[in-house]
Amino acid sequence: VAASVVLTRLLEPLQATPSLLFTFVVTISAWQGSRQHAIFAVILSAVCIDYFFLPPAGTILSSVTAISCVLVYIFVAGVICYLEDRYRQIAERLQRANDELEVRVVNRTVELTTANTALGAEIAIRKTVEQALTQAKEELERRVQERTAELTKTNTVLLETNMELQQFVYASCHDLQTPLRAICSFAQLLKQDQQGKLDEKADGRIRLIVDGVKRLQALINDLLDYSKLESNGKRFAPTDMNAVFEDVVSFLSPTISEFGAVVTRDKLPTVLGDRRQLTQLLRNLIENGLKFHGADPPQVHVAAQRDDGAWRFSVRDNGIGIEPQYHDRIFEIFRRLHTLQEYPGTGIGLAMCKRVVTRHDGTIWLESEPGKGTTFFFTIPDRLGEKQ
Amino acid sequence: MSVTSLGGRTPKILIVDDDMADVELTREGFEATGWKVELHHVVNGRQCMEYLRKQGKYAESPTPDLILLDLNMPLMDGREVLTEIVKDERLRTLPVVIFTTSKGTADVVKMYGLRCNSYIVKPVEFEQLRRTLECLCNYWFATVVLPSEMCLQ
Repeated sequence: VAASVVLTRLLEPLQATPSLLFTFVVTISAWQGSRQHAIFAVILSAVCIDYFFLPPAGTILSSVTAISCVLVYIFVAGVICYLEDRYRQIAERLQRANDELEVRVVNRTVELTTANTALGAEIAIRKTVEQALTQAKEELERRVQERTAELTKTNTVLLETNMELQQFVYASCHDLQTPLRAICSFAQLLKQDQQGKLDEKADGRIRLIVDGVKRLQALINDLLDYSKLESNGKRFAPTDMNAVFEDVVSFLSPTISEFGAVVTRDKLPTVLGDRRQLTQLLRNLIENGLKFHGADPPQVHVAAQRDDGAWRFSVRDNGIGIEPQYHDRIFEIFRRLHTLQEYPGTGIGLAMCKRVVTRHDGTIWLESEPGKGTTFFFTIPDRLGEKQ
Repeated sequence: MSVTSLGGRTPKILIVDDDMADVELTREGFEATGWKVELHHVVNGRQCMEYLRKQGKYAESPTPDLILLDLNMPLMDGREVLTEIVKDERLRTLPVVIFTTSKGTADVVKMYGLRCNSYIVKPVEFEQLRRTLECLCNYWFATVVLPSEMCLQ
């Protein structure tokens, strides 16, 4: 304000309206200072204007003109101050909003950076995991390949061994049969040559030789059949078990009529299997039912029931039955429960049955009540999905 | 009783078998049939081929009307013999009957594949053997026409 007084004084000759400079001063005060500063500057400048520049100079509010001039000035300055103040308030608010925005931008940036870092870390982890997974997968594949190769090799070795074993059994059986034929036939020739010269005892002994050899022959043949079961197996085909039953009954008809037996069946299904082997299976089971009969004429009944994805066949007889402790053992090869004099046979029939059923992915078992009868059960998976 | 056919000529049979007991049994068996046959015997495939080609000590041996061929023999087995015979222009017309212990599916199929004339499994009992040989004689010497008869005419 003081500087304005001096300056205005100096510039007095050039200036028509001294209040302009003061207005400027007030503007600056309001601009730079607070509201109080502005009011103070307005009052002071009004006093100065009146004192120094309004005639009569050196007095305050001495004339109506001076008073009105000062009032006008104060009004104008006040308006300026008010505008300034408003402006400053808006500016400040803007500033604050701006600051706030900046803070929020910074915060957001920080948040985003953190998120980005976290994401980066996660991606890195994922990549590591992915790599580990790929590695594990490759390792697994390698091991599977190795294991497959090993298994293939083992399988080849096993197949070869099996072939060798079969070849061995075949060759042994062949080699065993040749001398057997000589023993059997020459014993018979001896008997023929010495007709009338040998006593009953000698005849009996020759008969025993021939019987023994025949039995050995039968055992060898059965063993041969048993060993060839796998290699002679045919490709599985739909097999009508009714037809198989009829074949078996027709084959066994001499035995059936000899014993006065009755062999019956329910309606049987068609299964996927090796017809020849299934025939052998059913034949062995029915033959057993006929052979091991009690006092009554044998009755054998064959039935089938759909049971949990498989056909469960049953062959029921009214024969002598089997003691529970033998139920598992009778499926072993050459296992017999009776003497030859009681019941003839080599003891391979049920072992054969078990092998046939196993080859068809089934199981075989029995239920029996000694003296009342036996029921043999076997399952064949239902791969034809037939409903009956 | 003695039966002969082939225009009264005695049929000649070559037995190829390494088992002496079997050969003896076969001889007895033929005797028991009542058929009069001339039996010749070699013990393995190599001798068989020498005999048929009249090599060495077999130079004077007669060509058989029928060959009874065992399968399992040392040096050269029956399978190789039949293969050789079939390949040989002069021998391939000779009737060959496989007479063996083996009844393996593979052998049966293979021998018929090589065009053997029949396949017989040696019976265990003598009576059966006699019947089998009788049947064989009736068929080959009294029923069919043999190539050897053509050569003689």
